[in-house]
Amino acid sequence: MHEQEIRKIALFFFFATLDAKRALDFAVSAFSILHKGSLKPGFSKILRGRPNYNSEAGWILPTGVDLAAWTTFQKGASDEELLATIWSQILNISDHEIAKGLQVSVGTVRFRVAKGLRSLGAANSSASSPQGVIKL
Amino acid sequence: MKDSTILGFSKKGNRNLSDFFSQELLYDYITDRLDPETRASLDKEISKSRQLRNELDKIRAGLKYCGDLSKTQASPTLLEKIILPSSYLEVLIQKSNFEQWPQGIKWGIEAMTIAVGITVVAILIPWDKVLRLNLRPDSSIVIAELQRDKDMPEISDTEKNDQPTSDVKSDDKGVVKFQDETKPSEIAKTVEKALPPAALQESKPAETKKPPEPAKIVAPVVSIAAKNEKAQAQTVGSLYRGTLRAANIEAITPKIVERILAMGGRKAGEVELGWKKGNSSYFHFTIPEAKYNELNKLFAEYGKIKIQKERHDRIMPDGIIRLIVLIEEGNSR
Repeated sequence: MHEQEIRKIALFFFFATLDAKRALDFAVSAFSILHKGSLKPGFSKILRGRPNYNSEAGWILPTGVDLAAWTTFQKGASDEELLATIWSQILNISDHEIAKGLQVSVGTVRFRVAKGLRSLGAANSSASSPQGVIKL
Repeated sequence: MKDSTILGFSKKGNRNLSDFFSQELLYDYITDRLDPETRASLDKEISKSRQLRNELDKIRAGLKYCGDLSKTQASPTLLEKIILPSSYLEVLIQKSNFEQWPQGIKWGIEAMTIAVGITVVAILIPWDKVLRLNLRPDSSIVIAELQRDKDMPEISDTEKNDQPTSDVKSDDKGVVKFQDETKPSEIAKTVEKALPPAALQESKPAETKKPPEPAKIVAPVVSIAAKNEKAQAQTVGSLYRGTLRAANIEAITPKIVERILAMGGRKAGEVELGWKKGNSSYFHFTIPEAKYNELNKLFAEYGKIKIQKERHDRIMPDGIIRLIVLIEEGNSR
């Protein structure tokens, strides 16, 4: 498996859970499952709203970017919005591939991404404004 | 020619979009997926509506933020933790690129591993002991039932008919003895006494010089035919077998023995009641059937007793049941 794909797996679980240890465990399991050719992942439902990471966990964020807005979004967004946003906007997977994987239409994927981006944009502007008011 | 599938414009040549459609098209507008006419219409709507402009700003901010997040990197150490498996076997398989090997070689190695495993197991099994095990069912036939007590007076025909038709006999202490619990030497003596002289002559040709004294048969000799008739008339016997897990069995065993004896229980095998068998106490005894519930309550005081009634060749006298209970050391819960 290519290193870039492994990085994508790791990033997916990190942004989905915001828990460094869980993300690592899930990534190891996913890698093991994919490496053996099995397509039956058995992950339990991801608990959200309890971020658990630090700078020593091995995730290197770009300079000037913090996860405050993402934490708000990750806590409040629906599963569909969260997953579609991660896949489409962070991992840069094409809408067609996402639609094929989820067995939904491309329009549905775009709708979910748009909704997710709107929530994320609102969370981001709220996190950057001193009052901390979310404009929805 | 105008395509009929394209929505027509209004009389003024405008294509007005509703607020709902405008909002839903904003993402496609930013990502430049709209056709020129729709884009032009949406431009007009955006210029008119402040709410649409706000929504557009949110999506742009979200896109920019996601663009930044997508540059997040996982450190090489982290990737190594994901890639490298934990067990030595997996490390070995991965390092050797076993998955990339040709299928034939992989199958050959797997077959060889299985063959070596089977060979090792076959070598380790103690075949001499296994072959010496007698796994065939018992094919012996009982041809006679004999009374061991020589001094017992002969019983009349009427008394013979009143004798219990089971294999169970009681001694003067009331201890129930079973036929298979008699020592081999005693059986030999009894058979010697019970068999008629002719039979002894056939079995001991060397002793023909001195005619043996006729043995006194003190118990009714039952022919095979009669035995079969009786067996058909009788119901099958039963045995109650149970296990109990209790704490501190060394202390409770004497108490249980005492209570069983008080209920009229008697040991049924060769060993005493509460015989220490490894880390457990063994109770093989008979008891009046009427005391069965009381007995259950007794065991329940020390733990959860599980007793099962099993079919057994031995038939007990009416009102008497036979039990084998094993009390094991352990947590009663």
